[in-house]
Amino acid sequence: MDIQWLISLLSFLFALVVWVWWGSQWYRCRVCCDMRAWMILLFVLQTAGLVYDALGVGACPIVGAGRSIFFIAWSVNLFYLILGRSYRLSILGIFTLPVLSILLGTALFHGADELINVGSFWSHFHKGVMMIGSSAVVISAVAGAVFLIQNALLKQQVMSSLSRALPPIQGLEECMKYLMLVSFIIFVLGCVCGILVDASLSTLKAIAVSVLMLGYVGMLWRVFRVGVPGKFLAYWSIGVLIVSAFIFQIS
Amino acid sequence: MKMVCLGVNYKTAPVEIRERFAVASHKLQSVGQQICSLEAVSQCVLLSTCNRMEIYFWSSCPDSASEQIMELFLDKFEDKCHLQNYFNHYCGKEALVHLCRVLSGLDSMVLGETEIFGQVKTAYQNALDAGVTSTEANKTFQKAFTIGKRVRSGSQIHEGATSVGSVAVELAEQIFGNLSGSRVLILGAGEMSHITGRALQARGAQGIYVANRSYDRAIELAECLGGQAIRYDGWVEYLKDIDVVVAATAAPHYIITKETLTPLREKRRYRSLFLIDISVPRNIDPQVKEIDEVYVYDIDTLTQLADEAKRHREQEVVRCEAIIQENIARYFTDSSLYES
Repeated sequence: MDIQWLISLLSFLFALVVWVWWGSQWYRCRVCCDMRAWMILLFVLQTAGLVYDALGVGACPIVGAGRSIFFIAWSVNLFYLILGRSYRLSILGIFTLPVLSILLGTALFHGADELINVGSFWSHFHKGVMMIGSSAVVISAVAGAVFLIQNALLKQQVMSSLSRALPPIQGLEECMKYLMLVSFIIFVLGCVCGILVDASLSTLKAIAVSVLMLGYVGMLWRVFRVGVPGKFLAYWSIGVLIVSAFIFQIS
Repeated sequence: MKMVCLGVNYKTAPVEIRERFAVASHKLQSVGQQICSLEAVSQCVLLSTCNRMEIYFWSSCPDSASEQIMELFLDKFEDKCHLQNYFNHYCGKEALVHLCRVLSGLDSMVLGETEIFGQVKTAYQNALDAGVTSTEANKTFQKAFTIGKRVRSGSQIHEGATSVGSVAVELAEQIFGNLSGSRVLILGAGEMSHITGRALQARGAQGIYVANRSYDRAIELAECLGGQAIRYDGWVEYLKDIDVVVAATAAPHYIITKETLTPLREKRRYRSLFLIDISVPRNIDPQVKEIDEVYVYDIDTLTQLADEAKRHREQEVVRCEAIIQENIARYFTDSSLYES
């Protein structure tokens, strides 16, 4: 059995089991602290898989759909671990886990493609940077979705174990703003690398990327200069995820 | 050696009786030593809080020991026979179950409250420092603490706020997280303003502004809460920097409407605003909840949420009792710790 496939399978099963197990106990306040521990373990497993694959192929393992998605899952977890500490939103892990499970399951389904043409250094770098940026967008979208749930519960004046377990509204807003800025910076870096890639860009992709980046600029100005309601920020975060997933698909 | 619990609590005695037996914290050790010096008492832990004064002791002659302790406490009172009736008495496993129930908050005035756990721990530490405990008391209390923690982690008995003030605080924390750094504007200086303001202040809210038609009363409440009194005709100016508004005035009309808040949205940079309307008739127009970042709760909703939490805790009691019984069977395999 291929060790890379085994690690992918273990990562997927790990994420799935922890998600289902903790999903039944989210009302306990201890979940916040313990969740980070499980996410760290998962991160170690994912890193082992990436390192093993990289050593085997002699390049950053982001060639092919399976490897790319596995890499995105790794960077989603990385962002979660960095963010959780800053914004005390460790409980967000309970919502990030389903996303990770889906990504890892999809990566497992695709499998590792045979490496025919790895591409130039800048092509590789561009892809890697854009994937890391996408991970920030994924976490932001998760925060956005959680915000919409918490906001709805507060507006409907429902107080339940769920509303107590979810992160506070203000924390989620700060999280989305921070990730918007971080992902924008990473995307700009990725776009610059993309320009250095010696290959032509399709018109559709060029238009889509330009629209996204202009949207980012407008939104960042609005958020940091004028302010936006949290609900709008949440819709934006989810919208950016959909748009960037679409761009990812365009060749 | 049998474990016995003897004492008075809020269920058996009103406050004017309980206060006669209350033991000041600086006297706990000396009184504990006094109890332990009685012939029939070998070990004891003395617990004295605002809602109970209970002595957990071990004795080979529990009846005799109970009489001696009662004599010690009632000696200075003339109406001994009358006061005796207020004492409750648990022996053996009953005493152990009672201790576990107390630790879990099942015997508290506010069901599921968490403060009692720390109070019992302090009482035990005092007894340990006074040298009035031995093997049975030490092992029993250590295991009882474990059971108390298991009850809390295995149930939702402590979840949910059961008073209007604490519900308001809980909601504020769901919106803002940590309340330190939050700014609160209190309109009206009545009893409910005081209670809610106090609850917010206890959780860390630091910038507290009080506005009332009578400026003197605003100053009085502000001083009480460590805040600042402001003139009633100028409170609207503060809205752009405020996070929480507590409205409890006697105004017969709405003092905060959608028209009041809409022009402030951009000045506030669309930050979340939590409005607590505890006045009757209401001071805050319910339509303000249509503004995205505004959350408004009136007195009826807060009371309803508090009642729901109380009902939920009551439903958890059965589960907690089962956890206690299960864990007593698990941890106290040697029943000589509480009865032999």
